[in-house]
Amino acid sequence: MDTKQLVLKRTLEAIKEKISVDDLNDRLRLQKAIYLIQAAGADLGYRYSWYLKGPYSTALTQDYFAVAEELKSAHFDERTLGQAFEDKVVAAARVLKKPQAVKLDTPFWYELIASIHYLMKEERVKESNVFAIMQKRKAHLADFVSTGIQHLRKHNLI
Amino acid sequence: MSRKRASKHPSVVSLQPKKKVSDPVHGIIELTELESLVVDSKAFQRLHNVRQLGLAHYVFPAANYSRFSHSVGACHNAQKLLTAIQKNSPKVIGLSNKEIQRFRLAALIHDLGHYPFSHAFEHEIEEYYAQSYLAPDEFNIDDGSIFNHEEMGLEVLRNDEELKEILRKFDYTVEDIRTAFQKPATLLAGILSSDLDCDRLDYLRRTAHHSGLPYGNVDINYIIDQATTDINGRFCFGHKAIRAADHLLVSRYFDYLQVPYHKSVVALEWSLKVVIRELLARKKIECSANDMTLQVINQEWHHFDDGKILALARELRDHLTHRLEKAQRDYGVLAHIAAILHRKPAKLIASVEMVSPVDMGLNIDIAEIKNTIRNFRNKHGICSLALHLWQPKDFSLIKASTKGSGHAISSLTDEEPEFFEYVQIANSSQKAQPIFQFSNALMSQIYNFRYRACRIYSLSYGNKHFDQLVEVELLPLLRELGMETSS
Repeated sequence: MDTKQLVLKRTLEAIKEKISVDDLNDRLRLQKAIYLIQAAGADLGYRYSWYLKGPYSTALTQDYFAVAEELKSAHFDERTLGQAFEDKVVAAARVLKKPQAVKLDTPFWYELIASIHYLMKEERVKESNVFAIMQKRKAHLADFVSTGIQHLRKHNLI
Repeated sequence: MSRKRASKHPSVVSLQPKKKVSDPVHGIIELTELESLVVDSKAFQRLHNVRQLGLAHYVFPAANYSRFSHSVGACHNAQKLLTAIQKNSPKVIGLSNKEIQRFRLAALIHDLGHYPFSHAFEHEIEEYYAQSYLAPDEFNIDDGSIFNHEEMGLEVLRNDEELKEILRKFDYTVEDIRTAFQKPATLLAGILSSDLDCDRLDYLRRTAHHSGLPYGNVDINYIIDQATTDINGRFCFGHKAIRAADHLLVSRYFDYLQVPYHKSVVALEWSLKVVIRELLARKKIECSANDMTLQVINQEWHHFDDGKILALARELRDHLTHRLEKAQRDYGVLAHIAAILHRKPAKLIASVEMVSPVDMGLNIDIAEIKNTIRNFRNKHGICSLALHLWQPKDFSLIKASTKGSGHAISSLTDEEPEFFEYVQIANSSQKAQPIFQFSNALMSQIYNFRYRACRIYSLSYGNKHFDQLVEVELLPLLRELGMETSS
């Protein structure tokens, strides 16, 4: 496993995201979780573009498949995250926590807030236009847009 | 090559040839006005000095072609694929000149961001900077973020004044180029990035031509002639291309084993990486994302090529050679510098290799081999740079299957960009499917096979007992662990 992949593995362990890549929702969850913790200040160097399901990093795909593969082997690299970076990761991961009232599965919750963040920060979409765009691109999440905006605002990300 | 003046109305894109380039693989390659200007830019001319195959020319003396000729070849292939698609598919008859030029341009500049010596350098800076996230950060690195060569290419387009001006003149944006590669949103993106794209179609033939090895001699003209689109307008190949596509994928496998994975090419690459790491650790080069953006803005990027790294390696050699009291590590670094400057590669002393289904790994205990080497080093005070365990990334016949297990491969969906890395097969009334789903394709049987290997290399570094100790003590231990050894 490359060092960058080890950093990804340790980061996912630190934020308690299960390293599973077997189905689309698992991969969606990992994509968006890393996007969000990067947005919240723990930059791992993955760069994102908008794809069908919102922000997506092809470099990250390569790495999480490699990490999942490595988990099956018996060789473990014992290096750990530096304390300062781990603290940053743990703090950033607070943005992932879903409010109790939100009835969305975790991958879709992450997809919602990551997509809103990307639209507002990267595509510079005004808040007043976010709902219309989400309805067009992600109709299944449109009902939760205002909750998502509130959540991101609470975490000072927009 | 001759350059003509830009037309008065460059924003009306013309595909008329403005420049002709003679190429040993494709013959005469024609470039448009826009492409001529790009090719003449300093950032593109730099690619003359970035070898496609790293140090492979030390083993295959004529395999020293550059990213420049490859990039021009990829542009040529992109046009041929677009021509075939327009001929074979009623859906894209109306492709505008502007759109055709976009794909040709994206193909031309697809390697613009390659670092010196290509992949070895990129991998080493990725490893080096990733350490800043781990404990302890022995190199005290502030910024762990780097650009891979694709991101670097976009960064060059964003910040190189000469290229920015050319794009502006012809009314293209960096975003136009970036999205040309974007699957699945861009239906023809597979022309630029997939298992059977303009890049790979050039690479295989060019490497075969220059290395003298026959493996990449695939019938690219026939494959290209079968390019079309499916019912959704997505780039694919017709059913008749299955056999030729199988051949290309298998050829790529043999090419990899014979050239990048050649025992001495791997040894030289190890030495190159050690030297790059040494230059990074001594701050002779700085390659974080921020550093590289500055390099482009300051135009230092134009000179950041293979020659620059070799010059720095010579400086380091001279510095270490004249040091009165050398540390053991200095001797190791000097041996690696000699390896890349004077073709003195490390020796392959033990290996094991296997071709097997994805879920069957090497039948040896890698951790135990690592322990054995570590114990041997410690016992005899061997330099940490004298022995190397090499494992390739599992090589697979199709690109997307490098990602994960057989189960994960089959679960990739057409909502993920990686799905469109497969060679897609269909006719115009069907939705395209990956080649391995066709029972008449060889890939249907072997797509999930991997090549795996483990090799141990040793590099003499001035310890007169080293070679003998390896022979007498280390090799028997490695044999006991299931490795084949050199004696």
